[in-house]
Amino acid sequence: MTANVNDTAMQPALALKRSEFRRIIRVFFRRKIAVIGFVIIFLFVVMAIFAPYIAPHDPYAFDATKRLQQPSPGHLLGTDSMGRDTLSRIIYGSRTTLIIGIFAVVVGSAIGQFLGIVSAYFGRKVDTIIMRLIDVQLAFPGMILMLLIAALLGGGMRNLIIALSISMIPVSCRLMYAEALSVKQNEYVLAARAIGSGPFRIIFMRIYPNCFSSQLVLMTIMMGAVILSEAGLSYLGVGVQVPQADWGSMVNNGYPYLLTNPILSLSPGIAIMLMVFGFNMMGDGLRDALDPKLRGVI
Amino acid sequence: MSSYIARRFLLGIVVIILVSIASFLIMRLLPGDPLSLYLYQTNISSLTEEEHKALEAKFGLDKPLPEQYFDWIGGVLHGDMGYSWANNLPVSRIIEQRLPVTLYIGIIALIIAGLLGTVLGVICAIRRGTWMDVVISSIANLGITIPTFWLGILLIYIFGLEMGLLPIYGYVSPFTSVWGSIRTIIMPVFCLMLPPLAGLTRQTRSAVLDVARQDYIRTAWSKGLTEKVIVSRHILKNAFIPIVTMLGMQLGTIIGGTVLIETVFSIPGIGRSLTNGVFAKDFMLVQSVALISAVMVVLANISVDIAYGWLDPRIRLGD
Repeated sequence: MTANVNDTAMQPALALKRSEFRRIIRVFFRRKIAVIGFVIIFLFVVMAIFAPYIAPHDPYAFDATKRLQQPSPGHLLGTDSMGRDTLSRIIYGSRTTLIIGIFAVVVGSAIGQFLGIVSAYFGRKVDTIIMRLIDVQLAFPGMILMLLIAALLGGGMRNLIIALSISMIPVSCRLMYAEALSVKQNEYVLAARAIGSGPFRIIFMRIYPNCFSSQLVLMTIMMGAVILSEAGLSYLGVGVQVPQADWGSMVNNGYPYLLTNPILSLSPGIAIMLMVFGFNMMGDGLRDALDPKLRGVI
Repeated sequence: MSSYIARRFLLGIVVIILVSIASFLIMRLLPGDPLSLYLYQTNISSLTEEEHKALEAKFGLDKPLPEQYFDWIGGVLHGDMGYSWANNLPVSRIIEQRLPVTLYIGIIALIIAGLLGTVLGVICAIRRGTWMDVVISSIANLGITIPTFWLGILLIYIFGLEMGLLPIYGYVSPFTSVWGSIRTIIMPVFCLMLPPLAGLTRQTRSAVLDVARQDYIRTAWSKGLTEKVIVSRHILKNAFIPIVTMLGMQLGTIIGGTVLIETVFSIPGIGRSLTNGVFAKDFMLVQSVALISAVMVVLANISVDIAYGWLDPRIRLGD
């Protein structure tokens, strides 16, 4: 034991980090449902990246002679009112959904985290102003706010990402605020201040790393919520622009043919559900592995 | 306690004022001519420059923005919410007709979700790990993954088109026909209710499990109290605070949900007129609906705060 003191003392942080990482992986993969979620998302990501190789047809190819076909070996999920292959459009739709979801969650939670940590650290006026603004946004039902912003900016992926990320800000801000308030009480923050670290150094080097795991969990779970909102907005007609393949608008476009071609409207919904389910289960697993205290909070 | 509630009310008023300014500004920033739909509705095909100006003056669109805002908000305080160009009707008339429809559906959904969600969550928690927990939790997990508008379409397909059991769209007032009304709202209420129900079940379950782990619950067990007494007097009383918080937050979910669900089922409620209003750039209508929903959310939050005091003597007697 005495012989090893120096060895372990030299790199305690690294050793700790590695075993902690292993523990997290182990806990995560012990939960079957989390693994199922992970596999679903992994398959969706592969599908999105290799869409051109996987899709049996061009998702944008109009063909007036093949309008509204029933499922057949050539078109496994049939064709829509413009003769486009439904399965191919679902495969390409995973690109749209993943890109919008990831960007919206990253941008929205980055802004929310920043606001939350800043108002927790500085307190007083900064705190009051930021948290009241967050209250204002929370009083706007999310769907109405997103609808207004998306209509204001006009459709398209970029504007949809803006609308969705704005709607994400309050949740991550609130969680960050609560976590940072308690982390701030720790002695190492006081110590950092005592040795003269500036506020932003303390915020990003001392406080933020200790709040990160819960934010990661929140981001994973928010992916599900953002995907549902995106589909809802596209369904209402303020989503991506035609002819881009998008699950929410496919549900809407297929609706008039519900009686004759129910698969047009119903199949994209199953894709939405699967992806949301995947992210939710992955988030639950991450939460249990990273920070079981968050159970019930997120 | 009373000063605490007074402060919450004051804050609520500030929030509502800020919401009204925000929705006012967003609507003014929307691109396009707000009067185009009014012209279409009133069958005016072409207007000279002067006539268009005169029309703008009639609706107060030529005034500076702050004046327009105060005109509107002053009117709202007197019960006059302005004029809806797209519908060619006073906004208060539209809200009078449509808000009760939305409230009818929304409140039924909220009550069912609240009661059922709490009960199911408690059952899951006290029967943790049994088949009941597994079944209910799985359904709850499914409930938060289903896109509600898609669920609506699925129900329309199954119960409306395939089985022909229920009407696929429209709305019948309960004052016209109780049974007819129930038939029209059964699917919309189900769709609207599912996300808050699933969320509440999950969160109640973890809130109850949290309390059940506390030392005083172990003490209660070791005193030999029955399960019934422990659950109802010791666990539930303490688990109610997080549950009430979530219930308050679900109101926003329901209001947002009506926007989608009323579109799916063609229900003439306030959510649908909001969606139409946004597309038609119907300033007054959208502003007023946004304001009303903000007032409802703020009131719900204040009721939650009051409920805290009622449920938790520490807060009630605190200051």
